[in-house]
Amino acid sequence: MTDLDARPGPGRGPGRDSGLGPGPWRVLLVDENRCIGCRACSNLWREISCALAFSEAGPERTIKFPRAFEEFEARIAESLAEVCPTGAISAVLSDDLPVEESFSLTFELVRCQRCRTPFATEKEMNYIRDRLPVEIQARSSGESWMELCPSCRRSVERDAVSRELIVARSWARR
Amino acid sequence: MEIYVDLERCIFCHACEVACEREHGESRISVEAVKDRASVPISCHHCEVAPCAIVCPSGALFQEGAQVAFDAGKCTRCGLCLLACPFGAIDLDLTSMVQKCDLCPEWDVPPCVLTCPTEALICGDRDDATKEMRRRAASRIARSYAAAVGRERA
Repeated sequence: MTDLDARPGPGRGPGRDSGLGPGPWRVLLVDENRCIGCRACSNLWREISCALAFSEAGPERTIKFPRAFEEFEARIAESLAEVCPTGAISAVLSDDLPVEESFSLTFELVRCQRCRTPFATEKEMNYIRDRLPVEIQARSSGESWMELCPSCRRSVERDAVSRELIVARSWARR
Repeated sequence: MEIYVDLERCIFCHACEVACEREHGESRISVEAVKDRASVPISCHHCEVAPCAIVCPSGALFQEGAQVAFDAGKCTRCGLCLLACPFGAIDLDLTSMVQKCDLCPEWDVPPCVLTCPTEALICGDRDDATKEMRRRAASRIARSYAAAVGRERA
């Protein structure tokens, strides 16, 4: 991120006057500690995200990043850096092609407390937890909605709002 | 502003879903039955303090007056909003854009509300909705009272 920010010229484009030298390769760096494993980079738009591979197998999510981009693909590397919510992605110029073609980050997924389906990475939920006021995170009774997958949250909400009606309608049928 | 539901009236016909899908290509309201006794439509609540807008990293979701607005042009489809919604009212699959009720700004009354055959959906602020619900409750009581009086006379 810092490299891109520091670069002069309009639109943070990869200018040749950057002082970094006209490196033909854009090497992608992802800060493992910052990356929360969300879908921003892998789910952006196809022209950009086709470079990445997003996969989920059981309780694990893997995002595979290409290590280097060619000069004509510079815009892709920039977009990835721009779109990352935590600023984990950056691209640096390099004259040498890195040895590895790609690299992957793997994230453990948390399971829904109701249906046991893995639904988000621990880091995604922490990102949300850090930002929401505490009173929003709590629920008066039962498990917090934060522990549930979106579809179980819907059922919990449905049960809660229809409880009285169901009691009333059960009486009428007796 | 949001779409309120009179659960007494919802008959599980899915007409609101169809109307929404016709308008947006994908339905942003979902109706499901609970224990075969009730059916509950769920869509965006347009929270006053909206968790989705708080966590949205790109500013695509934002609070605008009494509603939570969505700017598709800014969305990165990162999926954090659907993890932050306490009601599971936001949808995002891998091939589509974030699906969230926008109260159809180009309509005076949203198509789901217009379509609902039993007028179970009420669009307005909380005062409008409670007023309407109170009126309906009063007329229910009046009806059953009138029926009871009628039985006594017969």
